[in-house]
Amino acid sequence: MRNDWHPKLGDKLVRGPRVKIHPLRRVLGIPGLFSTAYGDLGSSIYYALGLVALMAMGAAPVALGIAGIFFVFTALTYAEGTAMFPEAGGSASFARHGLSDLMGFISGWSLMFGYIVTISISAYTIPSYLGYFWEPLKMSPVIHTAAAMGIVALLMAINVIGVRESSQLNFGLAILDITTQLLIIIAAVVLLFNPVVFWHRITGYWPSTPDLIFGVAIAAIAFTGVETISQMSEEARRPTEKTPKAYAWVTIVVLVIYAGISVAAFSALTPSELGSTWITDPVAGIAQGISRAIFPHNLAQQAIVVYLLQGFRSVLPVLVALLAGTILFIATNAGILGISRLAFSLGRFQLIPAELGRVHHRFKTPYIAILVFGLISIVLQIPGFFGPDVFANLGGLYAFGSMLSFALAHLSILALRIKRPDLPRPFKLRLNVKISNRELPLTAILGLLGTGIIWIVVVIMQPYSRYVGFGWLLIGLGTFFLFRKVKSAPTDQSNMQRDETKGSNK
Amino acid sequence: MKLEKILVTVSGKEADAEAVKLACDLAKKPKAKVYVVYVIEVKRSLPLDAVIESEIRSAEEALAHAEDVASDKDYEVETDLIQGRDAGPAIVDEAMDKEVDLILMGFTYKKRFGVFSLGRVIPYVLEEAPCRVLLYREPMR
Repeated sequence: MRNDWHPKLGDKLVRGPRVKIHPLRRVLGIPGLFSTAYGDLGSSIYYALGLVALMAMGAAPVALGIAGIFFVFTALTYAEGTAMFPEAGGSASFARHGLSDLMGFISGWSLMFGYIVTISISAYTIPSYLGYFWEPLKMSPVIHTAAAMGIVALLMAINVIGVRESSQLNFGLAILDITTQLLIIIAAVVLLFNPVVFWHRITGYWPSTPDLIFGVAIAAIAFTGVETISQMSEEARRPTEKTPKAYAWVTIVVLVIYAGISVAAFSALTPSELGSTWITDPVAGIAQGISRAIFPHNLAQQAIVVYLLQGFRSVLPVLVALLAGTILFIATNAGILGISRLAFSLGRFQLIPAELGRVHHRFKTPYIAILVFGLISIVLQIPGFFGPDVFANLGGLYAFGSMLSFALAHLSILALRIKRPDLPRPFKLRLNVKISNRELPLTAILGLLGTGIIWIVVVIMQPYSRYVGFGWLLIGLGTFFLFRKVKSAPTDQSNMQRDETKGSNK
Repeated sequence: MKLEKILVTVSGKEADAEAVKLACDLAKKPKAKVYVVYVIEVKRSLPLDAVIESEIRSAEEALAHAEDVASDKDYEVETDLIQGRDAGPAIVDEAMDKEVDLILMGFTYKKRFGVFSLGRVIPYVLEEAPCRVLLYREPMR
C-alpha cells in the first residue's frame, strides 16, 4: 500500500442504516477549509473597499481596521463554538445549544438574510468588473442590474440541476486570488506609495463621527464568510483540531491582504474617487492606477524589461476584471449553496418548515430553498434599475443580518460558559474574566459589545436596512410560531433532548 | 498475490451481480474478506449527512441484492453505505481505511458522444487507488 496518498477534497461519510451505526467520516483538511473560506472572504475585497470609502471617506482604512478587530473576536468565538459543535449551522447551532430554539432560529434566519444579501451584492458587483470589456455593463443601471439578476438566475438553474463543483478549482482560485492581490499591493507600494500623499488622503477626507461609525458598520461586509468554516466543519477531518487552525490562517491572511489593499487603494486613488467612480469595482480602479503609473521607458533601459513592464501594464486590468468576475461568480454560487444547506439544516431541527429543504426527485437538490431564496436576492436588486443607492443599501442590509447573527454567536458562547461549563471544549478561548466562578472570554464579551453596537448603529442610521431587516425578522418569526403551532411543538425544547433526536445518522 | 481484503463497489447496475460473484470466487481460496460499498453522491447544496430517502432506498436495494448474490455463492460479505461529495475519492478513501488489497469495480459498456467512456469514477480510482484495481465490463449489446 502507498503511504503518501492523501484524499483529495472530495468528502464522505459512512452511513450505516443497514446493520450498525458508523461514525461520521470526514475528509476535508485545513487547505480545503481555508480555500473555501477565503473564496468568500477574499471575494468581499472586490466590493467592500468602495462601500467603506463611500461612508468613511478618508477614514476607510481606520474603519476596516476597527472592523478587523471585531472580525478577530468573531473568528475566535466561532473557533471555540465550531470545535465544540462541528456541525452545519454555525451561529444558529451555537444559539440553539447555548440559548434556546427560538434564539437559534433568529440567528439562523439572520444568517440566511446575510447569505441572501451576499448573493445579491456579489452578483451585482460582477458586471462592474466586466464593464472593462463592455462599458454599459458598468455605466447603464438597467443593463448592470439586468446582468446581475441574470447571473443569480443562471446560478439558481445550475444549482437546481446540480452541476458538479470542483474543490480543486476552489483551491486553485484561492491561490491565484491571493497571488494577484499581493501583486497589486507590491506594485502599488513600489510605484505609487507616497507617505505624504497617503497621509493627506486620510486627513484631508476625514469624515464626520456618525459617518465614521456607519463606515465601521459597513466595513463588516469585508468579512463576509467568517461563517463558512463553521458551515463546512461537519465535513472536516478532526474538526476540533483543524477548524481553529483554519480560522487562524484565514484571519491572518485576510487581515494582511486588507491592510495591504487599503494602502494600495489610497496610493492609487483619492477616497472620493474610490467611493464614486470605482465604488462597485475598487480593485479595478487600483489596477488602472497602477497601469497608468508604469512608464516602461522611464523605469528600465533594457529592452526585455521594458517589454515585460509593457505586458504587465496591459495585462493587469484584464487579469483583475477576469479574476474578480470569476471569484465573485463563485462567491455568489457559494452564497446559494450556503443558504440551501442552512435551510436544510434548520428544517432538520424543525426551526423552519422542512418543505423548504425538500429534495428534487430527479436532480437530488433542495430546489425549493434555491428558488425561494434566489428569487428574494433578485428582488433585492430591483432598486438598482432606478439608481445607484442599491449598492450602499445592500451593504447596510448585510450588516443588519450578519451583525445580529455574530452578536448571538458571542452571546451563545458566553451562555454556554455559564450554563454548561464542563462541556468539552477542544479549543478554549483564553483571556477569561472570572464572574461567579464562571470563566467568560474577554474577546467574546468585547465582540458582543462591538457587533451589538454596530447593529444598533445600522438600525438607527439606515432606514432602508431597518425596515427591510425588521420586515425579514417579522416574516421569519411569524413563520416560526405558525409552523410550531401547526406542529404543536413547544418553542423552547431542552437542548440536551434535541441533541439526541436530531435527524442525521452521525 | 496477497489477497486478504477485497472491496467491491456497486451502483445498482447490471454489472453488480457479476462483480460480487467474481469477488467471492477470488476470495474463496485465500479466505479473503469481501466488503461491498455503495456511494451516494450528495450535492453541495445539501449537508453531507442529508437523508435523501429515495437514494438510500436504491442503495439499500443494491446492497441487499449484493448480499443475496454472495449468499448464493455461499460467501458472506460486509456491506456499507457511504455518502460523499464525489464517488471516486470516497471509494479510494474507503480502500485506504480498510487497507484492502484489491478494488473490484463492475461497469456496463457505454458510449459518450459516440466514443467509449469509462465515466468519471473509474478513471479516478485507477489513477489514485493505492492498491490493485480490477475492472469487470459487461458484454456489449
